Amino acid sequence: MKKFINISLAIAMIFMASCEDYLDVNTDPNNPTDATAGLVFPAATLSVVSVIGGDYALTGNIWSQYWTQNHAANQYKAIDGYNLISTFQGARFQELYAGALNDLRFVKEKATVDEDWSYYLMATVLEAYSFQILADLYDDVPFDEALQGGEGNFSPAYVNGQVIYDSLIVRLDNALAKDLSAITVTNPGTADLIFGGNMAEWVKFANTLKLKIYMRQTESRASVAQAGIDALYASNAEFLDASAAVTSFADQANASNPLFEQDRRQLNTANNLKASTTMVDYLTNNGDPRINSLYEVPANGGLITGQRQGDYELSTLDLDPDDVSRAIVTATDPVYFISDVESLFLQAEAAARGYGTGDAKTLYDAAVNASFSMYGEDASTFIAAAGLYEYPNGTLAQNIEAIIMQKWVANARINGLEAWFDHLRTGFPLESTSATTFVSGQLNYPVNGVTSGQYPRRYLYPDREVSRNANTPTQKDIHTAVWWDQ
Amino acid sequence: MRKLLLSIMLMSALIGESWAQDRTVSGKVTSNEDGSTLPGVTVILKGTTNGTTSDLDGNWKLSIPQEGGTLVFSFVGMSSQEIEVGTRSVIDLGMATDAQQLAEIVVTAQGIERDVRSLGYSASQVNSEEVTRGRTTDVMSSLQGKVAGVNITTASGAPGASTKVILRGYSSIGGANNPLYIVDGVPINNSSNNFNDSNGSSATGLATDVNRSQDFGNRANDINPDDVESVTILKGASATALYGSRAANGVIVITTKKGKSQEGVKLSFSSSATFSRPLRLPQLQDTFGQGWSGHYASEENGSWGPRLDGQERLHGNVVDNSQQLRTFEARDNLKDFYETGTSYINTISLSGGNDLATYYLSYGNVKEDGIVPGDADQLNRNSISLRGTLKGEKLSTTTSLNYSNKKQSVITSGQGGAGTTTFQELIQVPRDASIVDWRDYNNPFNNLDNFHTQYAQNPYYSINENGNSFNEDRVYGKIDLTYKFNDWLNATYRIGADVANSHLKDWIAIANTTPGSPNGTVTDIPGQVIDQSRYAREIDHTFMVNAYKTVTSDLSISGLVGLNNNERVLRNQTQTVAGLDIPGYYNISNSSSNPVVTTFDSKRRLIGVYGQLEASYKDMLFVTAVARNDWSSTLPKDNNSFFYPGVNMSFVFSEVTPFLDGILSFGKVRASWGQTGNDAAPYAVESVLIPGQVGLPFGNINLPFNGVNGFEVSNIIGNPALQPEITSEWEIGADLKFFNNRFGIDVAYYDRSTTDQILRVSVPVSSGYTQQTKNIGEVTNKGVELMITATPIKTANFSWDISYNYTKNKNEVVSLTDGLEFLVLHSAFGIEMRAEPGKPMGAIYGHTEATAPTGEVIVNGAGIPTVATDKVYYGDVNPDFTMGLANAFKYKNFRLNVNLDYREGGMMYSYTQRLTMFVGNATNTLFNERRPWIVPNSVVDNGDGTFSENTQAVDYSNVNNFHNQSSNNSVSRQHMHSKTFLKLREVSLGYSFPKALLDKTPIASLDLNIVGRNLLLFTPESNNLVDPESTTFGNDLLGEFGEFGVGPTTRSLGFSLKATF
Repeated sequence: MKKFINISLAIAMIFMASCEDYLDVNTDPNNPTDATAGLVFPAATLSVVSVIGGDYALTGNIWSQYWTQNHAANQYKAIDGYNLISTFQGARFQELYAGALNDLRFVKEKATVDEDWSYYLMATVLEAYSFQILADLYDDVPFDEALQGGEGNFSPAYVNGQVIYDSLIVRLDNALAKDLSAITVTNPGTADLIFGGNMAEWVKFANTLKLKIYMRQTESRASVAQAGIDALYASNAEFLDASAAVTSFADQANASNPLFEQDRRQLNTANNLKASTTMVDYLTNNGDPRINSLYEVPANGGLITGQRQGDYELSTLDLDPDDVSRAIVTATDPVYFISDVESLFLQAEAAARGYGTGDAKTLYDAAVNASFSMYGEDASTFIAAAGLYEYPNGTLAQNIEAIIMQKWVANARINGLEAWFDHLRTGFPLESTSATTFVSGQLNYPVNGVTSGQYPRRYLYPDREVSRNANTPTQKDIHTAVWWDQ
Repeated sequence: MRKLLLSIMLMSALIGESWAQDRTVSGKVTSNEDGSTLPGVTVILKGTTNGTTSDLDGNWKLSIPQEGGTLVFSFVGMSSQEIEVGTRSVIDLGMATDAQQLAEIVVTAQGIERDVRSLGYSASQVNSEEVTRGRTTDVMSSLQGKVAGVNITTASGAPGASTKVILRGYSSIGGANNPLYIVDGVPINNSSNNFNDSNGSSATGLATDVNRSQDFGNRANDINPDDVESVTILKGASATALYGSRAANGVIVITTKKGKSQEGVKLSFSSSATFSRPLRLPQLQDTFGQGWSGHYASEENGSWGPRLDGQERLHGNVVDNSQQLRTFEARDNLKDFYETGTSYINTISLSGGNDLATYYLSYGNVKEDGIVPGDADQLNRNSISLRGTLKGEKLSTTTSLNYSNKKQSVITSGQGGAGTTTFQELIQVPRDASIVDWRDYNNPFNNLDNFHTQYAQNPYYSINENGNSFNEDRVYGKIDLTYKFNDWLNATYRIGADVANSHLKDWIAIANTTPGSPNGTVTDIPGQVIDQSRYAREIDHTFMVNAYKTVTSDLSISGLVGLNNNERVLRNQTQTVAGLDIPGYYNISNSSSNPVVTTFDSKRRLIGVYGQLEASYKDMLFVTAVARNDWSSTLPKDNNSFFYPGVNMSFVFSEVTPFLDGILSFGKVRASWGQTGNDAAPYAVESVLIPGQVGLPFGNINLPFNGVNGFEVSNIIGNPALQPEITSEWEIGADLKFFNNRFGIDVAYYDRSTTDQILRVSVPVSSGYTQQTKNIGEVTNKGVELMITATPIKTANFSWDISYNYTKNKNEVVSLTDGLEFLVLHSAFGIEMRAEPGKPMGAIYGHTEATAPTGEVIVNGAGIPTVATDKVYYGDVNPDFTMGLANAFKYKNFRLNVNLDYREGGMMYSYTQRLTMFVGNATNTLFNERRPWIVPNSVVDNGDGTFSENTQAVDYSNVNNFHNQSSNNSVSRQHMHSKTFLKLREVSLGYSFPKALLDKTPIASLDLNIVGRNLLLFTPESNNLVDPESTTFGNDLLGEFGEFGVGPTTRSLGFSLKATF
């Protein structure tokens, strides 16, 4: 009996001692618990791309009045009529935070440990790019305390857009200050879907992003903008002369340009996006050949024809949908973060304002040229003396108008959202508040707009965030301006 | 096997050991009533702790001092006797039944047999006769309506369909509410084999998709009912605590048949044939025929056409310049479609034994063909069982080994691409169409190109050309070694294993239509094969020491301590390929596309230490304390231990209330309190990375992208602070028998609360994550269980027994943490099933009409009600109460059993209702004879805050839109049905051949039965479409949501024969 007890106790003790190891089987065999920066960075890049090249491109291109909702379909009525509700594009807010920024944070942490500053810079640039857009669309958003679910913070505080802007410059400067020639630095190669591992281009991307961040503040904090840009020039910063873009899309399911995938391939009709009369009228009046690269010939043939912005309740008996041009979107369209054209326009505007040391006319001409040549067209007659797009070299207001109007045209199909932010900041193109009378050369209030003549100036906080994060500020009307929009 | 038996026998012989004392008395105990021997009788030398129990043959042997003494013989259900030994060395004793005692032995936790009178909680035991009488193919559905507090439903009438068993209501929001199944002392795998052709999941992590689901049953259904000796249902936390964390939802203890030592060789054979027809087919309108918007249209799939006038009409497409003629009249087309299902169950068993060993061998076969024509729904199950016991003086062993093979094909339910689900096709068929005429689906009028409608496929095409095949091999069993140190201490080691290997193949045929043919524009179906392999293994070790000590003749104490270790492993691999090349060849190789392969592995381990201490005083006061501590691999490493205790008490007060003699024959009160814990699913603690995939509103961007692979941080963040879910429950009850046990009441009240519910919920996305598995919320269940038994008539030849049970459970989601207002557990077409504080679990919310501030219904331009923004509370899915009534009549050798089953209240969603309203087949589409009407008390919104009276009638062209949920969401409410029903669950008439008649034959007993199940169903008038028990959503909480085109349940009638030799 005693022997038995002893044996039992011995068995039990061995048993309990090995318990810890025995129970240590809760590591998921189906998914890795760790990965390299190089394996995570591509997924993060594509997450940002899916948002800016998908839903945000829709909003940008529709609100900048390049495109409008076909009256024989109804997918984007809410965007076109400014009829936003709090679930509007909430999934993109989620994709940026939980799809892109969390992965970029992972990459930055890995890169810091490994002192692999190439990944550190790339991740910082995409992070700053994403946060700027979030701050531009929502103003106050979670920033310092965001992405800390891993540390148990599930109610991150909201930070004012202006504070975020200042922090982004600090973050970019910090990444730019790292030694890219250190022995620990690796070449990302194909894991860099934007520049294929060319770090010189990333430095230019970072500088141009700083330029873009400063330029956004011309109306709200001109002195900050000027000081920042002067400093950029003083340090001989180089700006993008090639587009920062993902270009390797293929014409096959789940590998295409995101807007093409979601609008053309996967929807039951590929006929939602039509040419807006606003843009068609402007290009037609100027005989601008870029019109042929933006819109298809109507299904019934004839000239490229637009539909009044937001006129989606029109009867098909009154307007045959096949008489209206469809917007060109292809499976292999690149998604641009900042195009070379935009880089030049940013530099031109800085010069026009007397920031930095550039020459405004030279930069403006180069920008318009670059925009035309993107579609294989020639701008020389347009920018020549007495040409329709000749740089005015007049008052600051005239110069800015010329630059922003050309930037507006150049951003059609390329970066509609940036054109929308330019409009909010500079007021160009001008706004017409009439839903009935069409005004040439101006944005026209959508025929079925629901905001009584007011244009949208921000997004609503998504439902999911409002209900789960007690720190979410009270919703503001979509026509309330964000901090830089004075 | 013989070698193994031999070696075990040798082992036990070697271990045998004898010891002697002063002198030995021995004897045999028999029952006065029938002369049978009594095993397990306690024999104690009065005033000492020296005692023994009689063996299986009633023999006992005890060493006593030379001077002798008084022996006390006691046995539950028998009157105790005291015998003065004197100088005798052999004492044979006959014991008499004690009317005041109930000899009701039940199997409790860890296989310990206990007298019901000693239990401080409710435990219901059902014997083999009940289990097999209805000739069901699974064990649990035979108990429907027979036990209080147990909710058993069968998902559908299909062969091998899932059986859902819920004890005392739903406690877990996360949807793991099934009890633990214990077969012969070891847990078995009861996972569902259901298949769903999509991986959609909601914020709660629960599957939401209603597309193409296939029900291959749950694994507890693999047990052959003919092999079952008894089923015990342990409901309360105090009753189940010894089984550990997996028993939080109760335990079903199944004890299988074994050989008996005294019976010699026994051969028994049971065979049955039952035939089934649909129990409830949708009752559809018979007034209007094929067409849409009030006009006849022969290409339509629905009955929004003109009145059925009995005229001949051309219908279908013109093929080779000819067209078919059909009388425009209503047909019983659904009923005609279904055929008679057959079910054959055969079991043969051989058993026997002697003093040292027993054996039991059985082979069972189930062959079922369901009511759908052809081979699309069938089940073929073979099961083999082998059990043996060996008894040495010290060491005894029990072995149980079971093998089952199951082949099953099922009808796909839910909604899906054209032609891939069957029932939804059938209920759309125009009322005047004859489905059986389409049987030849290659006939030019019926084939893909020319079938009368583009909106559905010929149902015969889908049941013959698409299909699935599920095949599972499973071995489960145990080996049990018990070593008896002395008459008060023994130790048991038990190893149990359950290994299942299954394979599913599901295929959809290539269905291309010829361009230019009438259906030429229908989207081609490129064909698809899904090939899925699953492996599941569970190993369970238990080591337990039992002690029993008589302290004085009045007080005895018993106790046990045990150690348990459980491991469960799962491996799934699914391959899917679409775009088949060779028609009719279903293999992953048959496509130019790359197959999509997904794998899922999981492993979890659990260690438990437990103990139980029981004290009984004078066989009338019993107190039991239990405690268990578990360590689970699925919880955070440094916080993976959880402890839960329980205590229960039983007092047989009839022992001390002699003044009630003659009225109260037995009276007992009981009370218990206990806790059980529950761990999480594996892999919820650590965060992981997952293969990169970027979701778009429609479509994706997938990695590898352009040859570059990528992983992303999973949006589901691990929770290192996860804690076990704890259920606390208290229960009081009474068990009273009156008038010599002719009338009995057993009543229980329980109050159960489950806190720290483990559930995956959404977190703010700005945290960088979208979901986390968390401890969230509390759910309570409070209820009453009542069982009344009565024997109104009992004469020598005739007896009538009644058993009535009543169950009322009140369920409430008490709280959700984290500021969650509610969780959507499931939704379909705008109707949501929620967990919301203050409401029962499974609160149903849906759309309602928008109303003006003054209460009028706001209609749109077509006169159809508009919909309010906020959803309203419709009710909940839980029944108000359930009850069952069983009558057993016995006249000489005849037996008649009649069982009724009733359920009151609860709501269910019916897709059948939605679809038949959409296509104009439902009877409620006859509203106002389909003539134009103005929605009563309706207004139109002037857009400026004012409203004016509505003058727009819902006209002919809009009647169908009114009844269609897509264009009038306010009819959603009509898609919810009451779950109330009354079923004539089981009727059986049996005859046992008299022994005298069989004496000259080798047959020892012969029983014949005629049995009918689910013969009648009554439901409230509002539900004329579906059996309220049917479900498409599996065998847990989601199953309560309702049905999604599941198809009819069945009634069956058959006969069975049982013979022993």
